Amino acid sequence: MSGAGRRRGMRGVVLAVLVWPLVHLVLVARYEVDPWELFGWAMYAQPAARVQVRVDVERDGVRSPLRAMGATRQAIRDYARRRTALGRLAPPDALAQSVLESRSEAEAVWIVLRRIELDRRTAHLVGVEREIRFGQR
Amino acid sequence: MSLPLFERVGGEPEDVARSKLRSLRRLLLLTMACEAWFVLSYAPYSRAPGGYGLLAAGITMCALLGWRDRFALPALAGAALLEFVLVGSAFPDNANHQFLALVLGLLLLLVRRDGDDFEPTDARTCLQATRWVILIGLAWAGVMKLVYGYWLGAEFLSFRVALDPDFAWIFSPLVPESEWQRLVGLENALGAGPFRADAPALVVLSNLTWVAELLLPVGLLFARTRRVAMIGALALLWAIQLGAGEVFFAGLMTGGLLLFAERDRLRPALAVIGLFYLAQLLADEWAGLGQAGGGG
Repeated sequence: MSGAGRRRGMRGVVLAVLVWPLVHLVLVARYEVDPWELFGWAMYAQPAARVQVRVDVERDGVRSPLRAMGATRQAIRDYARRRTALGRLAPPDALAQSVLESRSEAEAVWIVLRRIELDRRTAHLVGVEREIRFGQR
Repeated sequence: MSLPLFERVGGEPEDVARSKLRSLRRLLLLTMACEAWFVLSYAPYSRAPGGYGLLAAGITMCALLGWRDRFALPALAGAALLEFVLVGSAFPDNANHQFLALVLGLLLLLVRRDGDDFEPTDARTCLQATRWVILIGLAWAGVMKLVYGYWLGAEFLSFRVALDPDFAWIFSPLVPESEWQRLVGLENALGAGPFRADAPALVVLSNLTWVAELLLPVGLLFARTRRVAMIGALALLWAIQLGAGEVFFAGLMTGGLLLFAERDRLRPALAVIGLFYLAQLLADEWAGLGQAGGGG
């Protein structure tokens, strides 16, 4: 690469660093990405939110919480951490499928996501809950 | 970005530019090497200690080799590649200073060699680019605090006072006793609050923080105010880090800010930064031994 090309590359890196936080703002607003993550310079801009994940299993039309042990429990914890960081960019499909495969008697699995964050208006910790049903194929 | 604007972040004689870049290279290698060992204690790295240990050893070898000008380019390239593997394999469990390190590494790798040294025209551009990265980061930090709004009524600081003892002690002089007791009595649970201190001094400090993050980059752009702005930015950075404790981020930002000085002030600072890194590693090791002993 020529000298001029390398220097253009350096200026390009600067431009990317300048523009990326705008993209980051969109990712946070639309996809609930954690402002602390992905180099958006928004660390300390907002108290860190967290996502709690619960898995319910549906059998004979009745829904009950999954008592996860071992690898499944670790998978749920890992997913909670990933969901906290990446928001809707980390869908729970793979987690749901792995639970369905390990529990063939289940009709469906419910992934319950609760995002706990500080409400800016009231300054109280609030939770926003969302649940997604995955049926047995 | 037009050329005159790009060059607004200052320039220096060729020998000073090369010295600064050498110091930046050493800081980057030192940071990547120390951090690679530090993260072994934490998930997800702690789940594969063998693999990440090898990465840490590799980055350390590169750092030792790259300290010397003769092996600088291949060592830096090797360290950057291993860092990329470390960061990518742990995604999204990353620290932002890892991304900053990769950006600075990329800038350094774009500089052509002139024998064992940096080509002067590329070196000048690289320094300006690095200074812009630091300035942009500082400015965006202020913008983000304003946009998200948790610093306007000191909600962020109140939240940290309530739930983070390491952070809280710094602000105790600014919060009335009764309000302090109320805050630290709050739990990190649904419905808890309000995490908004009735403390005018805390609110003033909170707003001064994002205002400073917006004004200091402007000061860095002008020769007359650059030195004061650099010192102000360093003071702000280390004041925040007293509570935050993000040593590696502070190290890289300190190095970047020192590049705004007329001379190579980063070179003598390397030893101090290295000692902070070592202290962090030892403190972490001590804490780990303490936990192990307590559980036994």
